[in-house]
Amino acid sequence: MRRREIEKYEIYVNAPLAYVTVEVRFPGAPDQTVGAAVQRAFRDVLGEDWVIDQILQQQLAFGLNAGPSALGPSIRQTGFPRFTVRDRTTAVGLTSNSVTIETTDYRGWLTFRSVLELALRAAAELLKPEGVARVGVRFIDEIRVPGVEQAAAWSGWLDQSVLAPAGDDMNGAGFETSTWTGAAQYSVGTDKTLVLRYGPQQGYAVDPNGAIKRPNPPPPGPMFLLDFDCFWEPRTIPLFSVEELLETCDTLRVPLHRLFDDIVTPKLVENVFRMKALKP
Amino acid sequence: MTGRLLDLPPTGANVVAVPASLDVTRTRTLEELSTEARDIADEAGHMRSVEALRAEDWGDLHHRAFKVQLNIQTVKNAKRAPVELLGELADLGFEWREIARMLGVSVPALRRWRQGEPPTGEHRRDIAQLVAFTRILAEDHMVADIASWMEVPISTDAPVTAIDLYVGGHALSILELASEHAAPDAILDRVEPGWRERFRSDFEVFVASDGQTATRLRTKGGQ
Repeated sequence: MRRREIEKYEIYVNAPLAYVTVEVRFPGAPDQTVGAAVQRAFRDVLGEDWVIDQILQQQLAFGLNAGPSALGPSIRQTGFPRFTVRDRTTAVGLTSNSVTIETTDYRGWLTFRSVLELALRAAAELLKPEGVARVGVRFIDEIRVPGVEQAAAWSGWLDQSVLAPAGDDMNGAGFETSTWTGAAQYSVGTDKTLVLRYGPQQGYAVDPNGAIKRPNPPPPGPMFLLDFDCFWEPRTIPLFSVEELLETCDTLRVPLHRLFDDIVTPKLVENVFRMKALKP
Repeated sequence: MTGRLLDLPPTGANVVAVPASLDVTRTRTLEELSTEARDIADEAGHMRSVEALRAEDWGDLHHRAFKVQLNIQTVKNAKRAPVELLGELADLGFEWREIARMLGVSVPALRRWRQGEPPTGEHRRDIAQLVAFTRILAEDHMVADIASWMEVPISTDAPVTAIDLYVGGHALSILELASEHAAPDAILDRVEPGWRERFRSDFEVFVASDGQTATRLRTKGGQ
């Protein structure tokens, strides 16, 4: 895909995009974290801007120990290694059968693609994957409109197809829509699928205090979630070719952007996405 | 991370399949992946997982990982002046004759490089690689005072040092040793087959009739 085609989508000054990820899975054993030696080599291949970090999770464990604490649960902390830039807004994860690249600081596909290429080349060099099992591209948007507090108020900002069924009529009859959620699946090519999960929510879909940090997170409040997940699950096991994987990701973005453009109304684009003053 | 479905129980018996969720796998965020990886480890049993990781830790994958890491660090170091790199090795405490031995050159050749004569491309890479190796040992394997550590015999039963291993092209074995992924005897079995016989002492320690330990010449029968 040519450069102009790759970057043909407008990047809004007040874009609702909260998170972008690409996950490539290889055939093989279930995910296992890679050993320390592989982590260090992977970090070195990524370059000096990257550091090894951990996603820490606390987990309740029920032991069979004797003594006063025999019946009491204990909290075990587990760590999952990942590689991150120093401000923790872009990260790469590597397991025995997948590589994942994610960012909350999306600066256009070409920039993200360069990180993607770096991570894929590092994975290819170190793990020598035998093939590709799945490629997924996911874009998560949190749409926030000043003044839209109630779920029913999204009418006019988003396409009717993602709003509550007969919402306006019900509201007109005095029955207010509280909330709704939905998911739609589209076939977008051979072995390629696009899934959209959507609905109004409160707070954040992407936690600013999570493992990956968000630059300038908006204040919490009502928002409309659009979670696009476009993926390719080939029936065969194609070779792990970095060039072909990048082109596949380029291709997967096309239906995703098309659906986004169809869902957001011109009113939303003009009055929110292109309004610099709204950006916190 | 996202997409919470309405968390309300349906009225009455759940006899209708609710089309709330799609039967597709999801592109995972790192947090979701982390949770899945943890669950898999839990299912397999934590200890078994640890054992499995230990077993494969120094398999092909990790050897490849080390080679990649060493290669990257070497390329970085190769941009620096050889004199500076040699100075760094000396600052670590290596004697010049040991440095020369690890680089496979004579001490006079090393002296000429220190005085500014440029080494060949191959030798320049060797110098860069030795510096990269020592740095990996120090930074990733927490080996303090690298020079003296590499001069100490790795086993009480053989006078083989990490420097000897490096000279013999067994850098990976040194890392196994530093990270305690292999016992010294196991490494010697691999890199010096027959070492037990070769380095066996002609003397043995025994308890004398007065109860004190002493040494004596081994007899030909093996004791």
